[in-house]
Amino acid sequence: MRNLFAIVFAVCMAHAKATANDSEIVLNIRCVYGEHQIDLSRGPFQANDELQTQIDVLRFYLSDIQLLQNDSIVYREPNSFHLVDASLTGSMRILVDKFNMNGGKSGKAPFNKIRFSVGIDSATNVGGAMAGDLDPTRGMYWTWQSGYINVKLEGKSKKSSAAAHDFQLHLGGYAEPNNSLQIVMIRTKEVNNVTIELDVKKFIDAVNMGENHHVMSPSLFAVLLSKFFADAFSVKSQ
Amino acid sequence: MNRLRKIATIFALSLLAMFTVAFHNDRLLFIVPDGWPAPVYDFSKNELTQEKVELGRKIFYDPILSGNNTVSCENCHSPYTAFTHVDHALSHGIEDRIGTRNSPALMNLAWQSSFMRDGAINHLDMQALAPISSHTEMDSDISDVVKKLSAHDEYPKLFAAVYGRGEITGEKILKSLSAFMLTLISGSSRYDSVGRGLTSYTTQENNGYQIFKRSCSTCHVEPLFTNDQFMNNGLPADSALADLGRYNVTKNPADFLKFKVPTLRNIEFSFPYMHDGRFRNLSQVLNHYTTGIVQSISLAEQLQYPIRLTSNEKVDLTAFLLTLTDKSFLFNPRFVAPRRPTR
Ligand code: HEC
Ligand code: HEC
Repeated sequence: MRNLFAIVFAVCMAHAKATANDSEIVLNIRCVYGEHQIDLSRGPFQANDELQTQIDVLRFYLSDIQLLQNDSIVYREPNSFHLVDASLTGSMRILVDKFNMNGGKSGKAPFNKIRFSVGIDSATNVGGAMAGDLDPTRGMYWTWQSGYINVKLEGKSKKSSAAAHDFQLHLGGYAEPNNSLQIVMIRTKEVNNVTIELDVKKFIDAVNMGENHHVMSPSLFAVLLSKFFADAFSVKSQ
Repeated sequence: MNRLRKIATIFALSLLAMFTVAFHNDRLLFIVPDGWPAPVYDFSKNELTQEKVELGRKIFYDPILSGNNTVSCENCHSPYTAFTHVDHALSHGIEDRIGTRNSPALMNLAWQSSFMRDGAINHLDMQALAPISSHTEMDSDISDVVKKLSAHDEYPKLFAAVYGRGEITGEKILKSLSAFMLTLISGSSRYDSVGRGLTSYTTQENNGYQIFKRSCSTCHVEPLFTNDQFMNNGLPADSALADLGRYNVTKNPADFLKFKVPTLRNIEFSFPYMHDGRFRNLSQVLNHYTTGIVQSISLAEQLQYPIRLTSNEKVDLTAFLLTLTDKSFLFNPRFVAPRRPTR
């Protein structure tokens, strides 16, 4: 009897974990390289293409998540800062509380677009020490010159002219003209379990890495790369 | 009678002012001196409490912040010299590696909108990350510091007393350090007493004050003695360090060789002077302003025409600068290392 209860309980828990509860919308972040999923939890990702791309680090901030029906915002997540890290499975899943939608009225408000920022806005950048995903121990803060690193991508690619074909792209900068915060708006038909895909291949294909394989501070070039990075997001139907 | 009433009103008003700005605590942690502007620091995001200030003070003086536990903030910022590096042109840190700049005096930081000689740091909270991570300074990492403090036998309790339950984080360490540094207010010099009508200048000091108002106060603006801006005060560029100042941060050619205008409070004790500590005493500084200015495109407008001072005027000006010494700041027992240092 007690065993049976335990099993039922375990099944319920597993179910709850997989689908989240009714009041939430799940945003899954899927990082891919073309056809292949990038999962860094078990070590670097190695592509078998002509560039021999290897990815060691892939981390970025998603912030200010909004759901829109056409052009009106039906939900804007408060205190919306998420550090997505391809080596931490838990960071690839963001739960949005539906009960806050529709101006506090519960229930499902329709939406057909998702808008979010890649990076950290300038007000937060000058706001002093912050907690949670914004804590400087997360390794996404420059120490010698204040500011968040919006995107970290490190690895190897034949495109890089560095000694070992390595590249290290730390994209950030909040002050004009080097503000590299990007806003992404994508349409979605799915409204409960949305998969946002980031295709790193698309980004690397767009980047001229020849001389610029190490970007470690704010610059106009970092702004350009940030635009390419934002362009690599799309919504995938399940 | 009238005068008595006036004095009484002023007294009552200053008392009132003192109480309204003091943060809810029996000891007054942060008092805006009379006639000063409102602070820049947003205290609503980091409320000061006695425990938090004490915790920040303990961290400030603790070499646990450095990679090999030998260097604390105090190494380069000593309380007895207005928190600058005692008699060192360029600060040196861990294993005596030499840095590239002279450590500035730390005071009245709540009124400063950016930090470092070139303004590379945008908020007091984030300042400590720079020395902690710098190879030539403390050569550590904030995550390492979190680990070391969490494993310490005193810190977890102290953090819990300030921030409640929960682990030690980077945010809590940085906010505690800010809390302590925010209390480093210097506003009780002879200059301030004269301003409050409690005493008066000697003739010499007063002459010096008039010269100061004529030649210096557009940049070293009273009462903080800085305008919180970046200017080129005509120093010849140092070819060895090739320090371009504010340009390093903005990459804007107009900012070539501009440095933060430093406060002149406690100037008697914060030698050597300028971003690279090139001048050992005030007479060298005054000689620079009278005969050493180098013309360049970014040179401040105020210094385009030479400042002329006779040697008597230099003596007078120096006498005035010495009225900015604040003994109650330099020897404040609440600012020095806590009595029981941790190891
Ligand atoms: C090895 C020497 C060294 C150590 C250790 C050190 N500092 Fe500094 N500090 C400096 C120097 C040099 C500067 C100026 C650097 C610049 O302008 O680029 C500075 C600047 C500052 C400033 C900015 C002041 C202003 O007016 O802009 C603050 C605040 C400060 N330090 C606090 C700290 C704290 C807190 C610690 C301990 C965590 C610390 N420092 C450790 C050398 C040091
Ligand atoms: C155009 C603005 C400007 C004017 C006018 C000016 N200063 Fe300065 N002063 C500065 C700047 C900027 C620095 C810092 C330069 C650096 O760090 O290299 C400075 C530094 C100093 C320092 C060194 C402070 C320290 O802690 O290192 C002293 C002392 C000083 N000034 C005194 C004076 C006096 C006295 C006058 C008037 C004769 C004067 N200044 C006029 C801009 C100005």
